Amino acid sequence: MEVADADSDRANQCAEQLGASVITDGLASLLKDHCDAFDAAIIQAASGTSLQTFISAAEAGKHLLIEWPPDFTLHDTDAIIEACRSHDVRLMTGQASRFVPAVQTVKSTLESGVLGSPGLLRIHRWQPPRSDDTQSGPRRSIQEVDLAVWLFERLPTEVYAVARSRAGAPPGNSTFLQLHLGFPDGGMALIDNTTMQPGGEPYFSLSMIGSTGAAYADEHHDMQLLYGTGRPKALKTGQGDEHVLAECREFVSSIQEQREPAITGADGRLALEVADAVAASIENGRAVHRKGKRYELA
Amino acid sequence: MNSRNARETFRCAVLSVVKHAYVPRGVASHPRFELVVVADDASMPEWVHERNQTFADEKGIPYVQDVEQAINEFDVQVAVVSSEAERHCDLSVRAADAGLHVVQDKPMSTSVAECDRLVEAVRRNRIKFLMWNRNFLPALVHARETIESGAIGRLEAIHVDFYFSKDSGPPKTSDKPGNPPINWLERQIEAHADGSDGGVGRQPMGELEIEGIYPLAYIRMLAGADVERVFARTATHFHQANVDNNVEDLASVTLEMQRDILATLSIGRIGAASHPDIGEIKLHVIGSEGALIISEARPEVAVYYKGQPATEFRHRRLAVDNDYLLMENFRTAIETNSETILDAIAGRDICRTVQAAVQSGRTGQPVDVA
Repeated sequence: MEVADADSDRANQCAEQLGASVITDGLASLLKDHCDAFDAAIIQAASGTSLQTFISAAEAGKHLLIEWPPDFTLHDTDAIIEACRSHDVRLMTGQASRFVPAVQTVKSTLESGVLGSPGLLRIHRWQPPRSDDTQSGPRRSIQEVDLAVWLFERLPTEVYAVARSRAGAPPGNSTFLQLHLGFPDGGMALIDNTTMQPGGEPYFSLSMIGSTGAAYADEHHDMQLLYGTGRPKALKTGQGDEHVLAECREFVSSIQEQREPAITGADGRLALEVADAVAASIENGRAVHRKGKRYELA
Repeated sequence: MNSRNARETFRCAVLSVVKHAYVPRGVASHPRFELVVVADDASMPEWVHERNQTFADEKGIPYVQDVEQAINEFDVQVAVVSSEAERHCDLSVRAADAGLHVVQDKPMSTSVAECDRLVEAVRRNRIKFLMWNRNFLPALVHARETIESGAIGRLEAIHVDFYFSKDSGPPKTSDKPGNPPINWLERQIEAHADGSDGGVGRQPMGELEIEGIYPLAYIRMLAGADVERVFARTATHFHQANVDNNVEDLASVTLEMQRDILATLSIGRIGAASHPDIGEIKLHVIGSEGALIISEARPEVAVYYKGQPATEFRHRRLAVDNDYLLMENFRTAIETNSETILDAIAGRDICRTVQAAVQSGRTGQPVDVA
């Protein structure tokens, strides 16, 4: 196990938790100095990460599990997908939300057919602010977008999005992202991605209304009560970090079994494409429609 | 009428009662309001007269097939309008022009022009008007008090799920080649038996038009702001009657409101199998200092037993004083010349929002709410 991070404190902390034997300041250094010490890389990259770093990793035969950097373009993504394909390494898009037990249950129930055809997906994700740039722009909602595309098993044909910033928020930092997606055959999704006040607890709920049934995965239902002085407090019985472990297991299994992972690079690209349509809708105040293989302002 | 003795009851004429009569029953739940006559136009079809007569018999009051005659002869001060939706505004305008205060069932209308006519009649006759609503359900009262207390700071966003887990005749795709389309009115008349006739009338209505006023009234009350812009997706996802009549049974709406407040609404008649009770009705409210998640059904008690009918709700709502509190609000408005919790102007604004959402659903474009 090796850890690479430009932030040395974070790298050391992570290495200590994981029992890593090698610590470097970045993937490029890792490839340069310790290339034979690992077979695969799990990359949670920030904006500004060089495209060439990812391509070099693929060229070095490293399998990649990547949470796409917020500033990556579709062109960048295509380049990495092609590099992984041509060097016969696995590329998995990091999307741990798909592995959350509640979400898995909704998906498997939908796939069983008992809910009928998917009709209305509703997602609320409230999260405390983070110091890095992954929280600021429309790309922040990419996990929810991916869930929508995954659950409907198709791309939205209509995208309308609105962003609002709380007073005092840094320029360009949207507190509220409200996404409205329309799918073929009348499917639709409402996605609310909100940044809470510092110190606020995260909250997630997902409901899917199908033509013959519905599923409600709502953390509101997972609350316990703590009584003391004053008003009782709600305590969430969480689902742990099982989803992160499940994501890593899937990545490893896809390598061992020499098959495509559950979430491919192409899947990640689709979500990026929709996220770009979201950004265009916010910027122009108009709906974006899919025409052929691309999104265009309506 | 405003000088009416505080101990006297307001005598009420029920102008048509063709749905499941929850509005006149709600009016009668307040001791200051007394139902004294049911009235309707003689030209109405027989099924309307039958329902009016049945309700009149239940209450032991006369049924008069002449609205103006009933108003003139029964010394009434209040009209309770619970007709088919397309007649709501006309009956209310006639009552207002006769000087009666009006309590009206939802929807206000499917026509903004009709709403405008009613708003003008209310203004012209200086009467009080109450659109029936659910804003006094315990959870809504709690939400409003919490927000007003400042507990979550300035309200910034509000999201409402408003699903009714009801069926509505045969499911979508049950149609066979050669079958005639389902007649909307006939279907609604038939639905009276199980109480799913919220859309009763000749004009087909989608779920936004039938039930939209309830969640939109929540949003309006809690946000204290008007809707400026709407984007909506609508679909016929569940019921053949909706498919045949080209009106949605599922919709999602993004609402851009005054003061930069964001709101959304998901609404649908999603089928009885999709929820153990009346349906998932929930509010997510976000403020500058915190957030609030409200289940509209609470407080409630769960009851399960052997042989329980499938149609019986497992969770029963408690402490529901909505009917009484609405009428207390109406009484106060009359006696203190204040506004009701959902007056004619608010009802008209909600109708505008609904119509904008329907238009947006058809065009795929955001629509400004005039």
